[in-house]
Amino acid sequence: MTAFWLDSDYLLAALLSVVIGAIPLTASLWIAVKRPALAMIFFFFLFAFAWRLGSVLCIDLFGPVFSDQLERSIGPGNSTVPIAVSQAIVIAALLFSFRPQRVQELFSTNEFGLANRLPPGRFALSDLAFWAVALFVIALWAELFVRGSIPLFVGIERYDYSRLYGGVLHHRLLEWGPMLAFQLGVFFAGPLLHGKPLDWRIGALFATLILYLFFVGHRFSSFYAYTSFFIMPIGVVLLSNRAERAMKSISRYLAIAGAVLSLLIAVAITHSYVVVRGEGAQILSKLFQRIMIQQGEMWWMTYERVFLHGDWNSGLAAYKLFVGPFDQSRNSTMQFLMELGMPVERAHFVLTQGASYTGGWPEVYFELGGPVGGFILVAASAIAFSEFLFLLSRCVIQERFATSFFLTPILFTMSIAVISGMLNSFIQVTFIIKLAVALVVYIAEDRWRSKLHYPNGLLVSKHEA
Amino acid sequence: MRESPGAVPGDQYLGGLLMFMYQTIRTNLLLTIVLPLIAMAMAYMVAMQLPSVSAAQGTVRIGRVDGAETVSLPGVVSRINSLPFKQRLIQALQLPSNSAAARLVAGSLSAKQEASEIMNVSARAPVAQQAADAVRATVSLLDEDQRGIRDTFEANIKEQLATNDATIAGLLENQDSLTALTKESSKSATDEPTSAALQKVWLADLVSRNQQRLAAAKAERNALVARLGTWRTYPTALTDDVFVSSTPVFLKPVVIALLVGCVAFAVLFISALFRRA
Repeated sequence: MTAFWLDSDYLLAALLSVVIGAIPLTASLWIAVKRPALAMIFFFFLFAFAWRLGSVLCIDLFGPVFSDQLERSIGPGNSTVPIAVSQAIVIAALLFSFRPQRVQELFSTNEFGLANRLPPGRFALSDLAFWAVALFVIALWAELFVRGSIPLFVGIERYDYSRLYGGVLHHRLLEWGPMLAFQLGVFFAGPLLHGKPLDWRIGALFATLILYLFFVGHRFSSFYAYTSFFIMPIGVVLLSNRAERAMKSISRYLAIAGAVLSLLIAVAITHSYVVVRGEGAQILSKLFQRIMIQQGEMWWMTYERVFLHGDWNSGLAAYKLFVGPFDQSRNSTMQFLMELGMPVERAHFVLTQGASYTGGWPEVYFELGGPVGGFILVAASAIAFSEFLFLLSRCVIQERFATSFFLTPILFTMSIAVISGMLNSFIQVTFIIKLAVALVVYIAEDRWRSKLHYPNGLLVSKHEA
Repeated sequence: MRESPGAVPGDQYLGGLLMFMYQTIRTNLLLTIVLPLIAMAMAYMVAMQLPSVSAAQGTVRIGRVDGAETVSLPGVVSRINSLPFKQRLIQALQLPSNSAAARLVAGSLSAKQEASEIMNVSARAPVAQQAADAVRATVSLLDEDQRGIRDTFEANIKEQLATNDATIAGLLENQDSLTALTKESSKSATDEPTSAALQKVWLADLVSRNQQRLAAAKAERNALVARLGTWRTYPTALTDDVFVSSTPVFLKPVVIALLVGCVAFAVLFISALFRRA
């Protein structure tokens, strides 16, 4: 009797999964080595992509494996292929938008020397940002101590703390935290544009926020999201060829910060499983499910439905995503995928508990467009996203602080769409308002800066030229 | 605090940008202020003409027969959300099928599972009473469907109860007869003591077996009655009365006017910025 893994069909399928899966992984590695500044901008996506791909590959190669959440076995198969191609499309779109020549053109223009065009003022914008955020952070810590129950010490879950004890500022931080981290990153790295050292005051504020998250029982996701958004503008500033020296010194600091953060995450996860949940004996099994199965299980379900059984319904998907989801106030994509992937009653029970499963992208596009249309939707959304990211990077490099401030919520929404496939936030009134305000501010700042550059109109500028 | 060289001065940046926007508005007052105000006024007047719509919602507990669901809750939810059920509801409400009220009720009727046997039913209608009636009628229709099964079940249980009662009555009669026979047997003296003793044993055995059957029949009766108990068999019903929202479902005219004003301002302000350039 031959072992199943020696079977030629299995070997061919496994080889195909490994080879195609290696494409986005290799591309990510190439970006990290050759263009580290870009890797910092894309870290949020590349990390999530690599994790999901690893999980899907594990399901493909070592399946059937049992999924605790779905209560069924999944794999093996070639589910790696479509998700790897989708990820490769996004990476290609990002690399195309951030092609070296286009990026260097941003630095070659003298538009970003805003400080030279404004008369001296009474205080720097970074001072204002620092004091505003410092006040918020002090108030946040005060709120934590006044309310008493600190999750790290009393051993309660982060969501229980939010529900039972979390104050106004705590909730504001959870809602806007990654966007605040992005703004902190802008002011942290901003001085590099003028050949000055990093603003470590801002770095200290960010570290304080991370420590706060550790105290209130967060484990991984928040650290990952906050850090990713914080290093995004740092990467943007370091895109300049002139920043190569700064890159070397920053990478040393980043390595130290990364090591400390990893340690913090390891402690937080161990504390959560062992102290808070008392799952010490099952920690390895739980971690295996969390790391290797849960990241890829929902994609495998979509792969099985759409690619293996040809079972997809655009109309139903659109209805459940935008019109009639189980809970309008949350990510409708995962609700829909859960309803499709498991008994509806159980899916609703899990959702009613406030929980949700991992994934959603690119599942949502294949549920909407089928096995072929899905790739078109992935490509269209990837182009829109990469161009938006380039626009925001341009605003950071050119020190368009007001515009980048108002574009940040849109960046967050679009990033979440790429990570978890959340599309219903794009049809919310609040998103339309944010978009409209960002558009108004963008155009206003653009016109104002044109006026600063050419105070008497274009005719004078020609004369000057 | 003095800013470091090269740093963007905060007051000049924010002040300059805001001043630029202010000047744009000031030099284009008609475009950026007057026109949005006119748009707001017009939107307000139009919004006042919009028909008022009321929303009603109720929490419904799905009935059970003998402790079991006749249909699962997700099944009920999808049924309420289906078009055939909505058509049936319109007929039950006796609304003309092409009327605006019928369209509104059919379009807005929806159910959502809240707990394991609780769901929320909501509907909208031009009049508050119609909205409330739509929710109540939905519950009645669901209960009507369930009633067929419930009535059959109840009839069946009652039939069994009647049989059981007859059995119990017969056993009670037997018990009386046996008691009388035992008394009679003990009074009458017999020539053969062995035969008398055997007769007593035989009667005692009969009495004992009769009592056992009687106890079993009574236990069976209790079990049958329990199956009809309100904790195991109950109708589909509203847990509380229907709640009808006192304000119309459409946005208030003031809110509509403000939204229109904001949109008009944004569009016209952008056009003013381009004009200024």
